[in-house]
Amino acid sequence: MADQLDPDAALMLRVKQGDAEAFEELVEKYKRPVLNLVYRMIGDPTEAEDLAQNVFVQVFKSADRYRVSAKFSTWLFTIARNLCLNEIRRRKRHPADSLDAPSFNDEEPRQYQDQKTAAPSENLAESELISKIEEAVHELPENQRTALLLFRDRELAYEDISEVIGCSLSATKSLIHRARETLKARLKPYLKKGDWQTEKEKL
Amino acid sequence: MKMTENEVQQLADEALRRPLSAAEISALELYLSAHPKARSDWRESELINEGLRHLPDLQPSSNFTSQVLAEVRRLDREPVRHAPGRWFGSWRFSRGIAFGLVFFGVGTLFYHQNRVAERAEVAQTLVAVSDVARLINPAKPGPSMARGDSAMPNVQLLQDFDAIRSLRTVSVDLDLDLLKALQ
Repeated sequence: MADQLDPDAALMLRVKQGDAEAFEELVEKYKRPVLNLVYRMIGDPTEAEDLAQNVFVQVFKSADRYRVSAKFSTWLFTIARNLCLNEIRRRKRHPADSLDAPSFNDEEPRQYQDQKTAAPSENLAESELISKIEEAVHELPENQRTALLLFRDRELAYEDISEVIGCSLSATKSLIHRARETLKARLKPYLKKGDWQTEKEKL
Repeated sequence: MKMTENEVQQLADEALRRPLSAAEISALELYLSAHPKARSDWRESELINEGLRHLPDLQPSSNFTSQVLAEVRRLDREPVRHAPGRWFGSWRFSRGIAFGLVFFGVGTLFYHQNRVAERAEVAQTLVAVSDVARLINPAKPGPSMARGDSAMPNVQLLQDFDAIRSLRTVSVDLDLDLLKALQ
């Protein structure tokens, strides 16, 4: 049966039996997508790191409750989303706690790395438009933002995203579409300027 | 293959996470040729997708994994104890039990004191009734008397004991004076 398992689920079964190496493997594999989802949900890089670490600690603590029927990444991102929502609620209750949190405009460039493409994207990544799109993403309603980010990161299928968000498949597709349409509407002035070139055009 | 507007929109969403196939591109070109106004919309979608794909990712710190593992090891070493919520729950339960015991103790004390006071009052009333009995029938001091100067009231008199007790607000001395005067 183990051969038919999703490799992550197989690792998680080993974690359930107390295998630290399997757990380390899962952390290594998912730390980056989890960290970035958390970061884009709460908007504070320092707290995002702590919260992302906490996500994995929760995974370890809840290992006994993991059922193979659920895809590991779906389960993981559901935990991540729930912890983020708790953090957002906590901040709403205690607004002073987040006063020092830097906004997306105060990003420290050294902390970010775009590994999706090589040199041609560097100019794009540094452009004002990137920070505008970052801001616009942050302003999206939470469920649209989460759906869009999970979709963008290619980790999950529509069905898995709908499980994380807790809505139907069609509602999830609609969330992703509406998120993109909202971004398009907000960024229209910048898109019209023509100073945003696709890679195809640059080449 | 002809595409509908809805399919083009779905394709725009899909283009965010995967390159389009040759068949999809040619179908799209066919659609855009037939609907020139949709071309600018498609272009904006492409630009948004491009921007989203290039959002800079946050890099996990070099000790991310080791910190997680250290925390997990620390949790493993920790003796099993109640979660904070459960501890709080049991503390509240203990507090409730303590309050209950205090209320029970105070209640018992009041009840006991009330019983003592009641007995004293009964005794006082009994003495008064005995005095009345002595006045009515002074010639029969019996050996079984508790006090040398009192006579035990007869059974008929004791039938009205409760009524006499309820009249305790009336001074017994006045009644005795009246009885003496009548005699």
